[in-house]
Amino acid sequence: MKRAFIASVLASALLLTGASLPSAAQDITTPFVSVVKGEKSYWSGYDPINADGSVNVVVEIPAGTTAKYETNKRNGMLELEQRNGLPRYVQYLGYPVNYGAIPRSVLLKSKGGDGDSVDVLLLGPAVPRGSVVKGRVIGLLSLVDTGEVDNKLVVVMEDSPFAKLRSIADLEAQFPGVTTILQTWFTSYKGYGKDGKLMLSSNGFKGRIDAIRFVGDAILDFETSVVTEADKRPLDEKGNPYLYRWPGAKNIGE
Amino acid sequence: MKCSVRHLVSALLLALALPALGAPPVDPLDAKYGVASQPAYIKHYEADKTGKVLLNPYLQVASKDFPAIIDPKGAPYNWVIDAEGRVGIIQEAAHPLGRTYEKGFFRPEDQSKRKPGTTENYGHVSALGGAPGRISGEILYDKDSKSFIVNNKSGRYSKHNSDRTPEQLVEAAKLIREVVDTGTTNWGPVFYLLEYAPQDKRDALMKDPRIAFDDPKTQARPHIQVMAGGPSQVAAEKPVKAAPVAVAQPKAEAPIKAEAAPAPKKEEAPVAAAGAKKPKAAHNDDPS
Repeated sequence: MKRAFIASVLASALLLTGASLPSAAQDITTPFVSVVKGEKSYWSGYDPINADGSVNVVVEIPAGTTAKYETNKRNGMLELEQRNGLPRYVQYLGYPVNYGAIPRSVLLKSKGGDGDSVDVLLLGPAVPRGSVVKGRVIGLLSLVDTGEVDNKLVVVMEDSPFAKLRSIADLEAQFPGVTTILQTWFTSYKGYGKDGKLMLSSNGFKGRIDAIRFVGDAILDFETSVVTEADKRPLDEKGNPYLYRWPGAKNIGE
Repeated sequence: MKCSVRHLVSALLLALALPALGAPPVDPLDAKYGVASQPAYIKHYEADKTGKVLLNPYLQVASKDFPAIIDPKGAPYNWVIDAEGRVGIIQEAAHPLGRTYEKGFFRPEDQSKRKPGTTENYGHVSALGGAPGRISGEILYDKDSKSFIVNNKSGRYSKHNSDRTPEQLVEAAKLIREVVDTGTTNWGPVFYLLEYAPQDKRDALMKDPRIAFDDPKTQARPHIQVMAGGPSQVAAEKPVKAAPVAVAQPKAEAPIKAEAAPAPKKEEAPVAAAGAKKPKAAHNDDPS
């Protein structure tokens, strides 16, 4: 009982601090729950890619902050993670970069993923939690978290000082130290495991072609996993598709 | 009299202004890459139930500032010149709303026939979300010459359009070479496939001395090589130098164990000259 009371007081204090953090959407905060509700589901309501080839990133953790929010797949809101009955704040320096996810993407457990959406390191100025920001993929930070692959997509935010970068090599050449900062922070923030080793390790960065394939596969896996036979257009009694007429096409037959 | 002069001047000004007002603006891209036109058709699985044409998840829109990047592993690719003259590049993949037809299918409405095992893939329209496009085609990887071949195979944006010419394909191929990073892989020749040409162009080009066929006996898949191969023009993405972070960090005096840096990419041998490799005129049975 006493422990629960202390947890409650602590949580309230932490959340009061958290309430002052910027947010791009509606904050709902109680002593035990803090969520950000967007206009649409952050898990499935936004397109992952745009017709100009850019990707959309849901910002879960603004740069410089420590509150560990993540997308709830069931209700589509951003929620402050709970651990042992307490809201989870990273016990380390604040995130060096905006951290978020690609909507409508999934790293399937059957393929060695964690069942969550693609994690993103969004390079650019700090933006409010719950923002959905356009950016371009330049690479992939290869991470292993206690034996599980936990790669992070590296994306440059449009209209930011990083916007013209094409690759990780460009990032290294034009913004010295950033790759080292990212690698060091993400391999260190969870600290040491019981074996005395850092809980996370990194094999360095991968290039853009691997990153595009990584996120493309995850988007395709999401779409494939949510589609049911009812979503598809019906076939005729012999199993043949009907000719489809689309308003924006010439519809001259295949 | 004053009134008459005023009327005369007004009429003259109007006469000068009218043609300018009436004439449609000339888009230089129209001559270069063909007029942006609606897709010839959208396949039944390409739009969801709301009518939205799904974008290909591997879409890249290439420009000089932000080139697309391709490799042999991802081939075949489709390319499309959009209304603004940019190059959309997509990787072939099975469509989530599509099916695989173990026995093939036949559709009486348009006499479409597909062979057994046909899978419904993302087509060219998934590079533009169904929007109008200019000349389009494929980028195929040719294992023999270790190079990327470009053609004009698109049932949506190349075929069924009266203005898709070999010259436009050459212009498009030049642009593709300027904005697509192939790494160490060279560009192979560019082929204009007559099956995807307007009928009048096709008839004329059948008499062209450059005409070749996949099967000369049956004169199947006629094509013309319109451009020779060449090296990649975009500076290849440099290998990533960031050092790996050691897995083991000592808490006490344990020795630091650093992981080996990833091996650098093995460069492919340069292709001496792009051979006259036969194009795969119909890479898929399912024309896109």
